[in-house]
Amino acid sequence: MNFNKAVEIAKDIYWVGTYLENDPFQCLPYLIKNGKESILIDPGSMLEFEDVVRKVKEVINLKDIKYIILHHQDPDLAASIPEIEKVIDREDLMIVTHSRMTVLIKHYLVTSSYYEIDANNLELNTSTGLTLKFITTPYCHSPGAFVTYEPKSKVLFSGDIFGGLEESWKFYADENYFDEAKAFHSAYMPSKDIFNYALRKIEKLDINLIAPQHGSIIERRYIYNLIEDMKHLECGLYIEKKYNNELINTIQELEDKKRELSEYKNHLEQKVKEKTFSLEETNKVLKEEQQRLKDFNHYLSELGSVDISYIAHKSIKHIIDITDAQVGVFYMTDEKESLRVLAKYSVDETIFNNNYFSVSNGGIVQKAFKENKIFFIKNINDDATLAIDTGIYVAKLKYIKIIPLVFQDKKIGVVAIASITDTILNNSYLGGYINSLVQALNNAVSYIAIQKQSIALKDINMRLQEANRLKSEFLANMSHELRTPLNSIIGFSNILQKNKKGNLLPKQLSQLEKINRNGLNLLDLINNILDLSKIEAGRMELEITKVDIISTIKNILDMMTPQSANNSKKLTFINNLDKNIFYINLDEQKFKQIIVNLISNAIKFVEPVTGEISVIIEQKNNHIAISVKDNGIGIEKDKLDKIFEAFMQADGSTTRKYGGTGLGLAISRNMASMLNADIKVTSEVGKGSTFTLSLPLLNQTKIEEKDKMQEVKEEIKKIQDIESILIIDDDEDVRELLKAYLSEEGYEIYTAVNGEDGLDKANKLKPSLITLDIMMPKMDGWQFLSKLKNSDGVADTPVILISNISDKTKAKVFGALDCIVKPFSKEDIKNIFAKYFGSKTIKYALIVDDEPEIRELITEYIQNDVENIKEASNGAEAISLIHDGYIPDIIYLDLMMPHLSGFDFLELTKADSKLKDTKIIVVSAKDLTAEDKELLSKRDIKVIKKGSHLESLIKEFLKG
Amino acid sequence: MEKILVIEDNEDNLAVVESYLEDDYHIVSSDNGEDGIEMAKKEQPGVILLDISLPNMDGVEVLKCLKEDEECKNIPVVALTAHAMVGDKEKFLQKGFDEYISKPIVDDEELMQKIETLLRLKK
Repeated sequence: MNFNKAVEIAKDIYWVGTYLENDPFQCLPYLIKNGKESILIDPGSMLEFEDVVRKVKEVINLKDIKYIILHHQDPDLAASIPEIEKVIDREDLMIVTHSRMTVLIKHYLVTSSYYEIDANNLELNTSTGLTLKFITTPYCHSPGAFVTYEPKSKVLFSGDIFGGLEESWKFYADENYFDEAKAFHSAYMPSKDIFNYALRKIEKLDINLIAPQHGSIIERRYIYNLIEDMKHLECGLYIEKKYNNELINTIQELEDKKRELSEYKNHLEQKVKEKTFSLEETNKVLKEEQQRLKDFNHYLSELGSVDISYIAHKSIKHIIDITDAQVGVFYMTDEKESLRVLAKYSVDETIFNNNYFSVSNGGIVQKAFKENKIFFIKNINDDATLAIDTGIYVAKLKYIKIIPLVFQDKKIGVVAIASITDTILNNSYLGGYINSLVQALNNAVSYIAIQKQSIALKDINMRLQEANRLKSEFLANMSHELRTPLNSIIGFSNILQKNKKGNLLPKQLSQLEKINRNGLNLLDLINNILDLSKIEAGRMELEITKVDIISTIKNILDMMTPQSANNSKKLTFINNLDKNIFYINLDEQKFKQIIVNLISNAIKFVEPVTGEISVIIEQKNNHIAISVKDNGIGIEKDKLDKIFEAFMQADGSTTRKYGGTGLGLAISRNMASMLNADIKVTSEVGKGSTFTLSLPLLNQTKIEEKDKMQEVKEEIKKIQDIESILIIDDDEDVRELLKAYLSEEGYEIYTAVNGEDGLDKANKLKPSLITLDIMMPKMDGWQFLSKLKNSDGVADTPVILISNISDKTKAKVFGALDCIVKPFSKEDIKNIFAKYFGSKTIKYALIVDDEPEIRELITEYIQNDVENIKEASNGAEAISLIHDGYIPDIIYLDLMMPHLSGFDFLELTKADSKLKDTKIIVVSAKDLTAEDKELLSKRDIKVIKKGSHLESLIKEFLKG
Repeated sequence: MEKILVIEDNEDNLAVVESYLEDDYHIVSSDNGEDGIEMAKKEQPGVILLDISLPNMDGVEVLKCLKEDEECKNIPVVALTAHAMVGDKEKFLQKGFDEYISKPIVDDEELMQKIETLLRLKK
């Protein structure tokens, strides 16, 4: 047989391996020729690579290989696959293998697709009708066993239980081969069961040839007898005989070691026994020591008090216990640094009856205290009278120890102890105890001092509170007592001025006007003084809301125009902002008060007819500046600072000539500073003055107001999800009008014709918001409100008054959110909704477009619904804005821009987590390709084509 | 002509209110709370204007009696007072007054308007 060529072992089935005589472990690759879907089986290691390729080429074109079957699990048998992949170069090349092999395939970076064959009854069906059936068994090699069926010859490949011999490998098996095969397997098979399981599976197959991966090819005439013979093999794990002796030796060595260890153990046990005895001795001593420590700890725990006398009594007893002394006295210093006895202790209580231990003036105790030194007195002779009655005999006290108590240079006291024996002289515990004692004493002394201080502080605090209360009471009383007579002055002068009987002379009327005006001035003064004292006491509170300052200023001007027109003084408004609505967070009342004050000052100080006052609003950097400019008398330079002080007008005579309380500017400046704003003045004598209020746009409110802001926001959030609105009004026209305005915004609308009806419907329908008229038959709005607030489940429903009442305070006291006064406009309704319910999710918008006109246009469309708008003329600017911390809720993005196009912008910000909640809307004139559209829709980006219904689309996308 | 009861101890201020209202309403008055309550029961006025700082029984106590009385509880009561510090208005409305007008009365039209509204509401 010529092994240099591919050998056809059955029809269209070729052996394409390298033949090495007597090497049974080489791999045996086969090729099944099957047109364009030929199959290469077990192509083998890199050693065989060239041979395999050459032999395959003899039979078919390499490109005709569609399947490569890998069944073995040796690493080097997958190594040639990447090379084969390359030479075959076919996109639909498929590797068929079992799961253990897939790991290797991945290791070699095989790129072809593959599927695993471990599942039962798996088949590979080629489109030419050839079927490969995979027979899997738990035996190590057999998961890869597979069979070809018609129209090819029936061959079992990779049937490794029939191969793998060490010797006498022949290409085709002969009779002799099988005896060796049987012997081999009886030694290597893991178990008879598994082996027979595999054999039975194979027995059922109708096959002509077995082509094992290793071993000789077996023809049909041998197959069934072989299987029958193999079934009876005795199987078992094979251990080579040559290892037997080694094992026996090893066991012997281990047993020797064990014996040695056992002897060593006995030796150790003996040692332990010897040691234990001496340990028990030591233990006894340790236990005694432990008891002492326990006592000592108990003593220390008893020092945890702030009562000095208690500490003194306890400690003198402790010291006697610790030192085995018999008598002790505790001296404590007082403020004058003289010592007095605080506690005495003796085992013989009669000893103190003889008054031996009285207060010691001077003497050794005083010396120990002053010099911070321990004194001993030893061996007092028997003549000494100090003795204790032991019950057996009278024992003389022979040793005395005097210990100063000092905490960090602070002398606290002295302890003196006396004893019959010399145990008091040296005691290892005493030093530690004294340390703890002085600390405890110091704590107690400090505690008393702090206690005293705290009482004093409380007293001061109470007095301050009382003073404050008295001041408030005084102000309230003063206000009341001044208002009462003013009521008559203003009231009667007002009534008389009406000249109902027509009998008053012009001069008398003018005098009455003066009385009335001065009465009103006095009232202003009272109000101003109260305001000022409130501000100075820090008790003025801010109520921050979102305010459209442009319309607020317009309202003020409307209100004040008659006042100026009275004397033909001209009052004009100049809006230099490029917007007609501008929202700022501030306290509307205080803002109004400041502007009114500035304007009425200006009116006061300009001449009739020629007088001109203009109110100018403009943006300067990050401030909004509101200037009140007049052509009045002006203020001298050196007086510019003083005008903001209380009761300081530029000229003392101005009060007489121009009136006013002299408090207006002081109050205005104080209020401005509460708003974090500033008022500045420029002036030229004879030409006029300009007062400018600058409101910061960023961080408008002070930090301490932040909590308040949070509250406002939270309240707004609570009522954000408005779905349905109940309109309560007895006037059908009003109901219809409101319904028309509100249903436009997409709310569900219910209506009720009076309070009773309204209460019924509120309870039944549970609307998210109620609008309420006041003047209604049966049950009016106020009654409705108090009943609603007492109804379970609906008490918290927000209510907006829409009526003839403009009393916000009363509305709030009765529990309404706000009020709108009839007749109302659509704008009024919108403003209230913007204030409490507006689509608050969109606050910051970014418009990115290189055409300024488009930016302006979009700004115009969205400015009512968005708090803050920033513009960028290309993608790069937009990115730098975002990088600087401007995180928009919505981005309007042009696509065709210089520097960085819209698509580039999208690409660069794709992974930016800051923009994950940002809505992006492309506004472009570009005709989008299918690819563009897909890219945009993938990121859920909406597209608006420039020119086509731009306004309505932009507004629509802003909402939804 | 609707009847208005004014309870006010300060003679001058009573005269001011009377002067403002006498053309349009029938005014009855009392200079203390106790008589005022009796008068309210007897006269059944359309609106009561009630001062707060009154001798013996102050305005808030008077209001309480009026609102607890079956015959008087539906008569709207206005606090007409020189207690006009910040928060006073809220305080009195919370105590159950139907309206609040501070002294000195600066705008007599507002006074009239408030009375008219209360009278209309009562109907």
